[in-house]
Amino acid sequence: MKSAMTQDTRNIRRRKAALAASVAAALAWGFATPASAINGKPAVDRQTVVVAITALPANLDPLIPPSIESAKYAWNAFDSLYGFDRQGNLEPRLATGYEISADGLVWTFRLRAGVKFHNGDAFTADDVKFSMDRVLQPESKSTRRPFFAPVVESTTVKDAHTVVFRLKKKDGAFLNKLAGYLYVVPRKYVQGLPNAEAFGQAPVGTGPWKIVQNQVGRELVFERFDGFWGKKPGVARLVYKVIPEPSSRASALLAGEIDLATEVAPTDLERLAANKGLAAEVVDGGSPLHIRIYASDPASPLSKREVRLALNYAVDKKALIASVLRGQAAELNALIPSSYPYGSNPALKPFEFDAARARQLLAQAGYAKGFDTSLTCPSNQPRAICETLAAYWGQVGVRTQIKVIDSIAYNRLNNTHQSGPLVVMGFGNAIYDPIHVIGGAAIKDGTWSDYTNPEVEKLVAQVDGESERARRDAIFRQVLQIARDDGQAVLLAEPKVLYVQDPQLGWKPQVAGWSLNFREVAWK
Amino acid sequence: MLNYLLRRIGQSALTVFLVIAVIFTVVRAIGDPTHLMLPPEATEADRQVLREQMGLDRPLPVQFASFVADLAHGDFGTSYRFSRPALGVVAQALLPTLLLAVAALAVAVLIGLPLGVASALWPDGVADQCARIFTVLGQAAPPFFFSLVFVKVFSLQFGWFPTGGYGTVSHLVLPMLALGWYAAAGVARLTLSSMTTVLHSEYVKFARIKGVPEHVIVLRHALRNAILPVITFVSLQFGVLLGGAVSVEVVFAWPGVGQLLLDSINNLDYTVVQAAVTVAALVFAAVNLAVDLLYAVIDPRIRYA
Repeated sequence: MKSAMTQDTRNIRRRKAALAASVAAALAWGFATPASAINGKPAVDRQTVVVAITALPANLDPLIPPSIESAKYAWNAFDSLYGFDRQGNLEPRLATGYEISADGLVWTFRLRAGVKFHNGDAFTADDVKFSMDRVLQPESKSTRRPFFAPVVESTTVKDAHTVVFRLKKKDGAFLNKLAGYLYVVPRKYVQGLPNAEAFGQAPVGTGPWKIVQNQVGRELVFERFDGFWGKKPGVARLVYKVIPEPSSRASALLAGEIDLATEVAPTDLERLAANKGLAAEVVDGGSPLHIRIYASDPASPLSKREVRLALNYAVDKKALIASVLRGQAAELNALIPSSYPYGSNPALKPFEFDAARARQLLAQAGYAKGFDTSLTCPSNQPRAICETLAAYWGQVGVRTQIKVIDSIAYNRLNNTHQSGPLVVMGFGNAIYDPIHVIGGAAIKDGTWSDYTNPEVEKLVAQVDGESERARRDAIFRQVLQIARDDGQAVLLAEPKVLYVQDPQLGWKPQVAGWSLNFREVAWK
Repeated sequence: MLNYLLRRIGQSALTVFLVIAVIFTVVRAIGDPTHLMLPPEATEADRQVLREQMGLDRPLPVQFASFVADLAHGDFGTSYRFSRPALGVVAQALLPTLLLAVAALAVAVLIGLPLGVASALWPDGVADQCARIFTVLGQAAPPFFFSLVFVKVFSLQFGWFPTGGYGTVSHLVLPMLALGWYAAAGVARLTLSSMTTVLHSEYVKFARIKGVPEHVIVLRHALRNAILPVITFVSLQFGVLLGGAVSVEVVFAWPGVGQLLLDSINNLDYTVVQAAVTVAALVFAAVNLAVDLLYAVIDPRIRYA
């Protein structure tokens, strides 16, 4: 009896302790509000900018790893012949101009004189040829090879400041590809290294920032390159600090340890925006969040245009944006979002939410009672997107099973036409030309396409040979109109990319892309 | 003793070899890295060229044999992502993780052991009361929760420690406490129960009757016996802490092997995954071996023939 009683008191005491513990934890959670305003107090000093990023590029060679990795730093340390401004418009960098032959196959670039690499070597046409040849050699294992190998026949040095690319076939996006993928590396320096891999450890470019320290997984430190050919940055040092966890980036910002946080989570933005000492920069991300439709199997209901349109009408995209994406997304009217520098079609209206119309369209297609299908969600997308879609589609009779798969497996399946029948997708684009997206998702041979439309095929063939921007723009507009009316995809939203910084910094992020551009960063 | 040592080393080597074989097979079963290395515009022919360059087109047993042969020279291969030897990449990240795990273990022992002893000596005393709150909290909440709370309180509110990063002692304090608390709670509970049993044993009562001073009884007679299960627990905790460090590493941006392993798996960077797991297996085996030997030193009854 006695022992039972002690047992009881011990239990009660234990419960009290647990209660005390949770109260203490709750208190600790609740009372902490950040003390100081960050405004105008640099993390280090006014000659340094400290930026928190999610991960450092593993390999600093700008020609080997995927473009999404080099986008984080390559624009600062390297130059391409042409580059992109903040909106994605082309601007001359290492080239001052170019000419295209009448047949569109010979591109002659005049190069800037007086440009130096970080190691003091003079930049010449030799370096351009070397960079292109390096990408094309299979031994380099360059991820950029597939962009150039089918197109480039040869690169020749005409004189020290003229380089000529001869193409196998017309490529209207060639200049964009050079700008987005081909960073120029110094021939003499690279050839003098013990092996090609060594370049990634000690990279040398012509950009406004030179890399002075790389602590893998921790920090990447740049110093201003005083021999830079163009306008130099307004500070002497740029530090990338790795902080993978979004809430930790927010904390570092509040503690004044960094000046700028990239890829801020929408939930953290709400917390940070309340702080007067911080300024948010919210830009359109350029990635069309949509549902890829496997429409090419005639036995599938998805091969019918009415069904595909019904899936578009059945979803309240505004509600999806407001709740699932926490308002940090724009409506999407076509596969190319309006933040692109050209090729989007502002005349198109997003599909309105109209369940009755969706039901009617399904009935027209012979599916008045709906059908069963499945939706594949990669694990790196919010699962709520899929749950929301399945719920909306369920209301018009389309019974959707959700399949969540790991993002690695997703990549492989989605790139080899095995992820269907409905798949959540987004698109990065390093070259600001719509061809990457349209060619990938809306034509017969596209990597992510199970959709064919003869009209679209004809227009894309036409755009391939067209390098004049206004004409490309006009063709892409037509493509978008046709694809939208044909229900090529279920269009959802264009998520925004969020940055938060010290307002005294006043840095502007890149629109419609993930490239980090610190070429002109300065404190106010 | 030597026989025993050799047998144990042999067993450990076999375990490590099996781990290597399993991880080698598993990483290759997850997927094909050429899909991640090349852009989607790449053709199947492009990918095949890369596979041949990486030796991934060969049959699995052949790949494994050449991997083991290279391993004999300490060569884990080159990471495709870093374009550097995989072992170097892992070594760079292993040091911070070991530092964190050892520091957390020190926290566990330095806090948990005295707390457990005090609770056993004075049941329901102040120390016992505090220990109960301490252990309940420590065992109930996962390390990442403490990490978040610590950042809120000690970094943002009081500004005592940085919110994350690596390099100085002040960077180590919060992650070490967040990770060590859980283990400290376990050490305290186990020490308490182990000490309580020993303190009630006949020989301790006899020592008291004999008039042996209390501190001698506690330290020499009781604790020395009570500490055996605690040592086992602590050695097992070392592994738990190495694994558990991942969540703490993420919150504090600690550049450890957990984050590296996660990124490497996500990028199917085979060589780094293999190197990291092999090194981890070696560390585990070494710790277990050391603990077995430590037993023999502490407990004279354990003598290995």
